[in-house]
Amino acid sequence: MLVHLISSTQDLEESVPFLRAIVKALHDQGAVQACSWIEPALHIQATNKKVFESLNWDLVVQENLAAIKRTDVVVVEATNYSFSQGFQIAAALEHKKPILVVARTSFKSRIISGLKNNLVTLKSYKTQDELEKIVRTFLRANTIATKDLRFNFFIDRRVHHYLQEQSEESGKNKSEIVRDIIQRKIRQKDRYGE
Amino acid sequence: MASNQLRIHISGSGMHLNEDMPYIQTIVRAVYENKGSVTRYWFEAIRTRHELGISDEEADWGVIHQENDDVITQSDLVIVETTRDYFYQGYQAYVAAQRKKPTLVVTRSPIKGRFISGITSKYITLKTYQTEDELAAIVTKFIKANTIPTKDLRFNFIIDRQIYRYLREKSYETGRNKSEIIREILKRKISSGSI
Repeated sequence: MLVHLISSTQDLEESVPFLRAIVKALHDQGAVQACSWIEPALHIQATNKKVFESLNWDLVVQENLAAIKRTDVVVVEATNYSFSQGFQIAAALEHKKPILVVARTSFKSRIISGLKNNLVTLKSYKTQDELEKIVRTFLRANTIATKDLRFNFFIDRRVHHYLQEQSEESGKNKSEIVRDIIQRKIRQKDRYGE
Repeated sequence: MASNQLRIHISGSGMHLNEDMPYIQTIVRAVYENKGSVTRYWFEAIRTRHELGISDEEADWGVIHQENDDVITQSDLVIVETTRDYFYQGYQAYVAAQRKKPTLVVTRSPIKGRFISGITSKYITLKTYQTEDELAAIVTKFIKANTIPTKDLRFNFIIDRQIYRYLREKSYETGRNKSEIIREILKRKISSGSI
C-alpha cells in the first residue's frame, strides 16, 4: 500500500517524533511512503534553513500533487492546520483518496469538522502510541484484502445465454469464464501496451 | 435570476478577525468599486456569533462549510486572503481552481521558501501586499483582468440539422434572424428561473 504523508515544515522539530511514529505505523502495516521527505527536510533545517528558500517549490508542489494521485491513501498530520494541508486535502478529495487527518488538538472548533465526506477520517491524539494505533486502524480499514473480492454486476439475457452455453461446453462455472475473459483482456493489454 | 454583476467570493480566516478586518473591508470596497458583489458575508456572521457568545466549538461547521462550498460554485471569481496561512484558505483555493474560477490569493506574509510559492495553477494568481492601498490595487487589477466586458460577446456553437431547420423556419415565420431567436429562448429560460 502506497501512502502519502502530508505535514508542514513549520515546527518540524516539534512534530518530527510524531511524524516518525506515523512512518513506523505505516511500515508495521507493510505500507510505504510515496515520498520520504521528513528526514531530508529535517536535515536541511538543521544545517541551513535558507536552503528552504532556494528550493524549487514549483517542483515540490508538483511532486506532492503527483504523489497524491498515485497513492492509495493519504495521512495528514494537521496540528498546525496550514494552507498547504488544506490545499492537498482538497486535491486528495478530488482524486477520491481515503484521508486520515490527525492532530494533537481538537477539531471541534475548526471548519474541517464540517467536511462531511466519507473519505475523510478526523482523529485527535495525545501520545505517539495513540497516534500509531490510529494510523494502523486506518490502514487496516482501507486495505483491499489480497484474498478474492466479491463483485456483482447486471447481465442481459444474451450474456446469460452465452455464459450458460460456455459453462456447459467447458465444464467451468460462469464466474470462471468471466474471470478468464477478463484475464485474457488484461494479458492482451500488457502485450500491446493499450 | 441571472445578473450582469460579477459575483465574488472572499475567503479569509476568522481567527484574528479584529486585526484582519481592515484588509477584508479593503477587499470588499474594491469589489464594489469595480461593480462586483460579495457572495457571502462570513465575517459578519462571525461577528454576530461572537456578539451572541456562541463559541467556535458550538458553531455548525457542517452548514458553514456547505455554504462556502456552494458560493464558490456560484461565484465568478474567488479572492483568498491567507496571511494567517490557515488550512481552509488552502482548501478553498484548490476547490476554486478545480472549478475553474479565477482565484486571487493575497497575503501579507512572506511566501519565499513556502509551499504556497510553488502553486502554478493557471487559475490561481498569488500576490503579496503590505498596505491597504496596495491590496486595493491588486484586487482592482485582478477584477479588471477577469471581467467579461458588458458589451455583447461572440458565441459560436455547433448545431445539428434538426436545430438548423427549426431556426430557419422560425426565422422565416417571425422575420427575426436566427441569433435573435436563440437569445430569446435563452432569456426566457433565464427568466423562468430554470437555470
